[in-house]
Parts: sequence; C-alpha cells; structure tokens
Amino acid sequence: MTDQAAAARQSLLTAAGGYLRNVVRRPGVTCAVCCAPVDGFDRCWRCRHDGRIQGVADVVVPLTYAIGGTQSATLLWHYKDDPVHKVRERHALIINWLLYLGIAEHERCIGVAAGMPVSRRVAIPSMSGRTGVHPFTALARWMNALSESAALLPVPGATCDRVVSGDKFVLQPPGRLDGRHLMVLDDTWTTGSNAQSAAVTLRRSGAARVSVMVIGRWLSPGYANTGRFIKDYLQRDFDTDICPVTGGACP
Amino acid sequence: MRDAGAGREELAALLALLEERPALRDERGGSTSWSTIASEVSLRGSAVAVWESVQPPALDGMDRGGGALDRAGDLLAEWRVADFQLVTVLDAAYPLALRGIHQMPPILFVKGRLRANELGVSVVGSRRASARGLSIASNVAVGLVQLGISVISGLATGIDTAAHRACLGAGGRPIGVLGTGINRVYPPENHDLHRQVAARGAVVSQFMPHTPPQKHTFPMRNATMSGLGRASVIVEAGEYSGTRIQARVGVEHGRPVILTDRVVAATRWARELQHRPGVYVAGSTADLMGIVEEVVRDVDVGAAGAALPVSE
Repeated sequence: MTDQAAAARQSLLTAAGGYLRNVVRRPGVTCAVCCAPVDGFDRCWRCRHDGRIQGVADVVVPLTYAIGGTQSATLLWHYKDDPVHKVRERHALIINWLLYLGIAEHERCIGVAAGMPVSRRVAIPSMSGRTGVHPFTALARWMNALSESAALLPVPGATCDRVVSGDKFVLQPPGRLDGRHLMVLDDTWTTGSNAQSAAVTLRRSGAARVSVMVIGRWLSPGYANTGRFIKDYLQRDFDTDICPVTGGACP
Repeated sequence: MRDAGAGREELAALLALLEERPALRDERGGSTSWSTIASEVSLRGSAVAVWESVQPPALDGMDRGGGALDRAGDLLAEWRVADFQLVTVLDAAYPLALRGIHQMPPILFVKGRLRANELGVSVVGSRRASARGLSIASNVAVGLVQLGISVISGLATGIDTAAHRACLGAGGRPIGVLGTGINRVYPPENHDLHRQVAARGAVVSQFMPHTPPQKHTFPMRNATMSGLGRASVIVEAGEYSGTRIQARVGVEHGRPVILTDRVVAATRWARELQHRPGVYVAGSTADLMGIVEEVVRDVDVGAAGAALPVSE
C-alpha cells in the first residue's frame, strides 16, 4: 500500500467509517449486479430486466450504499448541491477518498472480474437540468481519474429518465474503442439506467469490456424488504479491507 | 441565501411545509421528516419553491394551501414580539457544522447569538453525576474556553450544568441546546442558568416554542448537539443514560467522540463503542484536552484530497 493510500484509508475511516457501509455480495441476498437486496433471486428486478439489453456493463461495482434518511444519503446529495461551499467541500473529501481507494486498490479487481484490465475511465456527464461541469466530473478530473482520450457528452434533449438507451450519450472525440476496457464512473446508482446507457454507448463504439464504478448504491429503507436487509446486513462500520468486487478478499 | 435572514414569505412557506409534511423524496406525505424538508429546502434554496411544487393543482379554484400558510402567518406575527430569533437553513447565519448532518433542523429558535462559524465542542453526561464527574466537566469546560472553543451542552442538571457554569465562570461562550421548545425551562431550577447562557452565548431549540419535554425530543436534541460541535465529550454516563445517544450519533455523523475512561469502565455500550471509528478514550483531563486539540486541528487543516498518478 502506498503512503497516500494508507492516509486516504485512515482519513476515510475516521471521518466516515461510522456511517459508510461496505457492499454485500451474497447470492440470493443481494443482486449479483448492483448489490441491492433481493429475495432469493440472483439479480434484482431492474437488473434482470436491463440485463437483456445488448451492451450493458460486464461488471458493476458500487463502493458503498447511500441509505435514504441517513448520513450516507446526505453525503451524496449535499456534496454537489449544498448552497454552502464549505459544506460541499467537506462532503466531497469523503467522495474523493472513496473514489481514490476504489480505483487505486480495486480497479485491478474489476479487471480480474471482467477478464481484462481497465484501459480508460469516463464519467457520466450532467443531464438536463444542470449547467456546467457536474461536480462529480470536476472531482474525478481533479484527481486524474478521467482519461484524456475519451469522454461522454449528453445528447442534447436527452433526459434522466429510467430507460436504458445508447442514444443518451455520445463519445467525444468520436472514435473506436476496440479491444479496450472502459470503466464508467458515477456518484449514485438508483436504477442504473444512466450508467447502463453509457455502457451501451461505449459498447457500440467497440469497447471489448465495460465496467461501472459508483460511489453509492441508493437504498430506500421504506422499500419492500430493504429495511430488513439494512438491519440484518448493514450494521458493521466501513472496512477498507473488504473488496467491493467480491464482498470479501480481493480476487 | 440571504444574510439578513429569510424573508417573511419564505418563513411562512417553511412553517407550512413543517406543518403539512408533504411527500418528499422517498417519504410518505404527512410523515416526512423535518430534516428531509430542511435538506430539500436548503438544496433548492427556497421554501416557497418546495411548497409550490407539492401543492396539487387547484381544479376548483380553491387555494388548498391557504390554511397552512395563514396559520404560519399568524405564528410569525405572534413571534415578532417574542424574545427569540429564528434562524433557518435559508439563512447565512445558520451554523455551518449543523449543515453537515442528516438530522439538520430546518429552523432554530435562538436566544442570544449563534454564529455561522461556531467553533464548539459538546460536553455532556448524566443528570445524576458524581462529584468527580462534575469536576471533570468543569475542568474540560475551562480547558475549552482557554482554547477559544464554545462549550455546548444541554442545560440539564448534573454534568450539563457543571459545564455551562464553568464556561461562564471562565468567561467563555456557552451554548445550551434544549430538548424542549425555547419558551420552556426544564428543569425549572435552571431558570437563571438559561438566562446567563443566552446573555453570554446562545440558547437554541429546534422545536416549536411551546414544545414540552418528551421522550423523543431529547435524542433529537442530542443529534443537534453532535452536529453543532466539532466533537462530543462524554464525561460520565450510565448504562441507560440518554447521553449514550449522543455518543452513537456522533459516530454516525463522522464526528469525533471522546469518552472518559470512567464511562468505558461503567458501561457496556461505551466498551463496544470505543472500537468504532473516530472514538477516543481519555484517561485524564490533560489527555482529553490533547485529543480535543488534535481533532479540532484535523478538521481545519489536516484534510487533503487524494489524487491518482496521471496516466496515458
């Protein structure tokens, strides 16, 4: 482990270990794609449905859960939209450490799971309703997480609806990604439609593998058996030794 | 965000939202939490905008929201002559530290003066405290005053009272956070202390002004105290003491929690909590003050972002 990784682990655990939760990877308990709770199935309804679409991601890796009505949800809302700069900055540091560790320590694991090392990283751009560079993209760019040679732009008029479509984004500059493994970065996975739409776009441009890394898999405690899942599986403080790809040791 | 405080229209809309608690985000209408309303209003920058977005279209021409807005208007008129001020999430004066937690109260009722950039640490503990506990609370409060840190506590008997009194005695800035409405004094014998804390610092409540002390108001108050401060010091507590709530929510906020070794020796919850992230155990007042200095400094300068090596 590098000094910087050790420092990021320490900072992250001290400032947020008490409320962040590792994702659970357990067949029949969580979705094999997005880590949402399931009732005995291998995938959640949404991922089963979207899994039939040509070109969706090979590997999806949420780094933690964003649980409605708790500090982790506040983190993911307020790091980008709090009216006070200092508040955004404090929350953004946590996102920074999470993403840094996700890439520095587990991008290799995603490569193993996909059968090919990650060769390019892109972020999901802002959809309608937000002007300028999305705070997540700005953060990812600041930390050198984004590739210079490939980026996604929203198609004018495309909306943030819950449909997976390869027509929401375009690759910039246009070109071929044959033989490459593209990793899509985003802050929150709710239905996954934006990230999967990005995956479809990248695949159309020839990407051999597409993976997705998100900061938080959104959970609504009031939805179906989610409250029960939180009570049974999400009580332990965040552990930086747990691999988000396997839910245990790194592959 | 306004410097001088939210306008009357914004205040009325915020109060109407708090009364009606319309469905927002994933929550059910009528029971949406105040903190969700606070977050939504803060992110949108306007209570009026949120209020208007949740009003059903008035097909019959009747303004359905009129009732709640009218009642809000009446309250505001009544409060205009009150001896407290309102600070809402729309105000620049709202404490920054409190904006960082998920139980952010939408509105604070304040006697005295609360600063947006308040640098405070909570000193809390049991109502039925030992002589040793009271002495530790006093010493810690004086130590905080010497560091220029405001002493936040709950204006209850025991540890809270000792911390507030020592802070006042040392010429510091006390902040009392109430588990009742701002118009109540609980316990009644702390009437004078309330007055002095308001005069030299601030008395703060997140509840409607006449709210009596209730079982659920104290844990909510502890979350607010944890959010207001840079850290929480738990001086003395029993196994079932309400103080344990503050220790737990402090961890859930990612704020440092400092337990005295007495709390760890006396309770099972503290023995379990001491291994959680951001929890420190202090064996002496000097030790404890050292931890406070360290964690306060960390928040100010210690945090730096991490960047990846440039590739390609």
